[in-house]
Order: sequence, then C-alpha cells, then structure tokens
Amino acid sequence: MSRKAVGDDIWKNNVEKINSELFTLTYGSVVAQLCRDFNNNYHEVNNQLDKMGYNIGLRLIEEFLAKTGVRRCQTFKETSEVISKLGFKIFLNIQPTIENWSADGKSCSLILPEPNPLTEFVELPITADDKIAKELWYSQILCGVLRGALQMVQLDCDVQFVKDVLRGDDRTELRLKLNKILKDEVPAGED
Amino acid sequence: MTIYSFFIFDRHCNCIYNREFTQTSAAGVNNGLINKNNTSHSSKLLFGIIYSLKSLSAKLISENELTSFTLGQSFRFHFWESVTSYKFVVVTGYDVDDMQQVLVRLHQYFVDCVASNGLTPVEFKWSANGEKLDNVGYSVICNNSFVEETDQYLQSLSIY
Repeated sequence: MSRKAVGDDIWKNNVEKINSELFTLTYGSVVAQLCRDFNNNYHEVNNQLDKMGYNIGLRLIEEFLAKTGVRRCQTFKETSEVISKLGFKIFLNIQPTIENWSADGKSCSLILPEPNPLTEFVELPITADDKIAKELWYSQILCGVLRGALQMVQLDCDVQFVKDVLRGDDRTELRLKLNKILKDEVPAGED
Repeated sequence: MTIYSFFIFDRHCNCIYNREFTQTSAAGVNNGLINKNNTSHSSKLLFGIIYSLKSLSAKLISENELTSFTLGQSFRFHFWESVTSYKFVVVTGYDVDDMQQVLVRLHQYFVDCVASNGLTPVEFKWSANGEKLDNVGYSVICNNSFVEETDQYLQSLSIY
C-alpha cells in the first residue's frame, strides 16, 4: 500500500474523530486567552503556542508510531512524506504538499491546504496598527508539535511559519529545516 | 515457560520501569517487585548487553534488528525498540519463542497510559543539578494504571 492509502485507511478506521467546530473554537479560545494574558505581546504568544505544541509533540509521536507502525526513515525526504501523508492526515485529515527543497535536501516547505482546520472561521481583528497581522502566527502550535515529535525520533529541526493566508498571504507555508540527526545516548561510564 | 521480568529503558539510557515477577500459584495477586531495581547493577548490565548486541547485529547484517537473545539454558531476553528509542525488554524462560507482538502490545499500553496521559511525564531525565525540568518528572514510571494493565496483560499470556 502506498503511504497515502495507509494514511487514508488509518484515518477511516483507527482514529477517534471529534467535531471540527469544537476543535477550531477550542484552539481559538486558547490563542485569544494567550493574547489577553500577554497584553497582545504577539511574539510571546507565538512562543507560548510553540511551547505548548512542543509538549504535545513529545507525546503525540508515540501515538503516531503505535498507530502507523512506521520504522525509521532513511532520508529526510522520506520523513517529510511521512509527516504529510501520515502525520497530518491521521491527526488533522489534511495532506500538505511538500515543495521548495533546498539544494542540500535539508529544508523544505509544507504548504497547508485551505481550509486550515485551525483557522476556519478565524479573521484577524482590524485594528489601527496592523501589529497583529505582522507578528502573530496564529497556527504556531503546529510548529511546536512538529519540532517536539521530530526531536523524539532524533531529528533536531527548526520549524517556522513563513506565510499564512490569515495574514493575507497567498498560501500557508511552513518551513522545515533539519539541523542535525541526534545520536543515541551512550550510558555513562561505570567508574 | 515463564516470564521473569519486564524492563523499559528510555533514550537517556535510564531504566524507567522495572517489574519483576515472583511466580506463585495464587492468580491475580500482585506479587513481585515494581521499580525496585532500576538503578541496580544488573539493570545497567542488561542495558549494556543490549546496547552492544544491537550495534553488533546492525554491523553483521545491515537492517537486521535485534529481537531476542539467549543466555545459557535458562533465560531468553526479548527486545523491541520504538523509533523514539524506548527499549522494551522481557526476560522469559529459555523455551519462549517469539515475543515481538507482545512487546508491541506493551508499547501500546505505554502510549495509552503514559504518553497520552498529560499529567505523566514522558521525559524521565533529571537535570545535572537534580532540579526538575519542564515536562520531566519522576525518574521512573509510577503510574498505577500502566502497572495494572501491563501486569494483567502479561499474566494473561499462556507463557506466564
């Protein structure tokens, strides 16, 4: 079976679904509350969302591995395919496209299809200054999730948004960059 | 056919779960030791053996994954590692053959009771000066539902 078919199959038969509106609204209220808590310091809001995502990713990867049974990927290209066709598919039912590979094969872009399940119904408020549209990455939690999950499989990555439809860009683009492959830890000496 | 013990090691080489079974005839009685020998010499040695055998088997035959090995005429060690480097080891009698499915199932319990449980830590490492880090807690799994469910599962097997 191709990865896509496996992803479809798991999504259909092996995933508990929840109401997407409940999901979107819950996430929305988290972001809104963070904006209030940090007095509209959107950089800090991004940070917090990233941290929350990171902690989710650390856990989610275990469930992902148990559900899909995938073994270690041989190349980063393969990893990106698994992220899109299996990861995003079984948790969010979307399959981002992967493009813009760098020459060294260590970074690529994930283009999230519209509608992005996190941003359905969402519009950034119109204010005198457009600070929010310049600074807030509304779906930042996804970056954290990916970073946490990849770290647990020994891939140290940077993940960030570079474009978001919510800000008026033409598409929602996530940049994924592999820094290094972490080595297995070796037990401490017995001295 | 007997199951003697069950270990989980994390990616920081710590033994985060250690269950030793004492065989008695009374079914359903919670017997044996739980997390008593995590830092003992023998768990460290066990980790060392697995670590070495794993690299050896990878070198001898590429893409060969270590699944089990036998010591003498009495013990067989069954091994399974998740991609996240959690190592699951079950020690059984010499005559037990394949336990891969059992180990995968044990990992499923780990996912359900530990990873999906937001209040249970998934990182078991302590910082150098002994302070707790974010999302890092007790150095072992001491989650009752995990202990109960894995116990129940292992004891329900015919080889127990």
